[in-house]
Amino acid sequence: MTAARLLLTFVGLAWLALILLLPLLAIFAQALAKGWGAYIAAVTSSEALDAIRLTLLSALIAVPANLVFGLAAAWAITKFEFRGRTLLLALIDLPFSVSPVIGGLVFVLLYGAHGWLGPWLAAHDVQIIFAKPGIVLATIFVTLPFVVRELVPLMQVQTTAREEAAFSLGASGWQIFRHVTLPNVRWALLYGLILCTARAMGEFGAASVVAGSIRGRTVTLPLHVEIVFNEYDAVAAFACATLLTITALVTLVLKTVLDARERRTAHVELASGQLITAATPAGSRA
Amino acid sequence: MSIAIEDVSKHFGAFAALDRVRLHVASGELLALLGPSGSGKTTLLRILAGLERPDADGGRVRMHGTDVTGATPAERRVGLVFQHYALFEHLTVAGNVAFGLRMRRGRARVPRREIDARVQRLLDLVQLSPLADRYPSQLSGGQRQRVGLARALAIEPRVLLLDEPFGALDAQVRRDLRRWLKELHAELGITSVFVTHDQEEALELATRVVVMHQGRVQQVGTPAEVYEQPANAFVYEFLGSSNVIDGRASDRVLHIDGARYPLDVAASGDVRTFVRPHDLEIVPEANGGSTFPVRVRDVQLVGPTARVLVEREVGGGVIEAHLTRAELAGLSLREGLRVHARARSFKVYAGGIQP
Repeated sequence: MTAARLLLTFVGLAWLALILLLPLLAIFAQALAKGWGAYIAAVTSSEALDAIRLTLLSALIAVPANLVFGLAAAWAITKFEFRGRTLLLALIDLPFSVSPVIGGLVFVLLYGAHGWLGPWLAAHDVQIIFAKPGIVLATIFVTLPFVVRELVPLMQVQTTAREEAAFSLGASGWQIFRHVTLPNVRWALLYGLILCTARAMGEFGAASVVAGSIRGRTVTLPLHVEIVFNEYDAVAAFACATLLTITALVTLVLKTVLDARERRTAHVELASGQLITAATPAGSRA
Repeated sequence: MSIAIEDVSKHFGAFAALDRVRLHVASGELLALLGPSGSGKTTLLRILAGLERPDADGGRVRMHGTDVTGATPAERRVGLVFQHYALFEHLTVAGNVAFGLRMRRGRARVPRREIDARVQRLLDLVQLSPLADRYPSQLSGGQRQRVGLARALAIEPRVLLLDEPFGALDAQVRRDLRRWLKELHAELGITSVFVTHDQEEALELATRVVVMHQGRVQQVGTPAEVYEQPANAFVYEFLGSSNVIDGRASDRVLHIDGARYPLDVAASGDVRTFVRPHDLEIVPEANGGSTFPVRVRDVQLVGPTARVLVEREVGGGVIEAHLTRAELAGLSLREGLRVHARARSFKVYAGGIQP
């Protein structure tokens, strides 16, 4: 029994070390192989800074866009009955099930020079593909499901009784949203936003298709890592990779903290009899 | 605040939740909407609240003579209490009670000091002042429902509407809270309507009871009226346990398995006779033509009551009689024994609504 447990634990840890920990260490070891000076130089080169700026810009646009869309979509799906509700929910999952490369290609097909809207865009001097708007669009596409996916299950469990209570107490639509709905989903929302941010910063596939890798203009951090690596500058590539790794690690920590919080909230919900409400849907209306 | 419900109908798809309901609620009443699930009682309450609208041509709701059919809950000034409390989990008890006042903007804005004073008064009223800074999750069910009530009262509603207010509580808390709500209603005198499926709750608490079934009002009356003079078979069966005995009526006489009972009105043909278990008497010998033979099937002692299940020898079918322990002791019943039954009082409904 004890032997079996020891063996299992050992196998588990060894596997993790091989698959996760070793590569992680390798990234930092490679990045610092030529010392701190080379590391600092690599992450502060003008190309690297441009890439960082573009990555932050696309995250800065994609995340708020998903915040607004995610809340609106989750609100619509869970608080109203309408035709095509299930279809909307299924469509929101599309970016999860489609390869990001395909997602990128669809945008090229739509907005590219030979795409459906290409001639019209060219006539109006708007460039989307091989430009920053394309990268932002691709980022929004791949991060679309995160916020909605976190909110919908939670908002489905919560009946509209609280909103009705607030309405009967004289609260306006905005006040109900601001003071009742939003506080009830705040942890799930934050969780969704963190995942969304991490994904937005790490996006490679769709971005690489629409970006065209024009240095200093359409190169995001992950694309920059690839370019530098292909130029046999391993130190610079891994140095920039550490930035993405650190982002991922921070996300992991925040996610763990929020998980614990959410579990506590869920426990409170259970204690307050909310789950009973959830278990008696429309049928309870006599 | 009096309320008039005038021919209100409500359909959900093809389902008629309410079918031309007429009802008048007098000012200061504590009215119970009683019925099984699906009877339309909650829909009626939600229409009173302004959370649902009647069908387009489905009647009007008036409060104090004013048509409020299209008004919001806040415009009607109704206070709502929910079965599962619907408290704001992220706000304290005091924050919950203050919510309605805090949401007021512009000219209706209530100064902070006045809000605090009113919240304090309400918390005193519902005996929760010591728990003002707690969160709902730290309270018991009974305490939560008192917060729900204080929150509804904070906006000084003209009508209080309660949807199964004790539905989520256990038996003991339920009884205490019921008594407490009755006292509170007597003290405040606010017109109140509550929904329940529990006949005991309706009979104990309400000044008048509205019995509903299949989207229609079956009977309106004081608790004594609806219990003692049920308008139809449905009301009879819903308001207490009952035996249904088939018999034959002819010329103001009811025949049950050879026993004869006089009827007030002329009736003829097969009829269903309703007898409450405590109105069914068990006697050892046949007696004067009003008893019919039965065989004892089972005797169960439940607290002070003995439940005796007997099978009719002639007509068949098991019926139930409730005896006191003293009555049971005088009979020495055992399974299989042949005895006789007599109905002390009964009701016959011709063409009554099938339950």
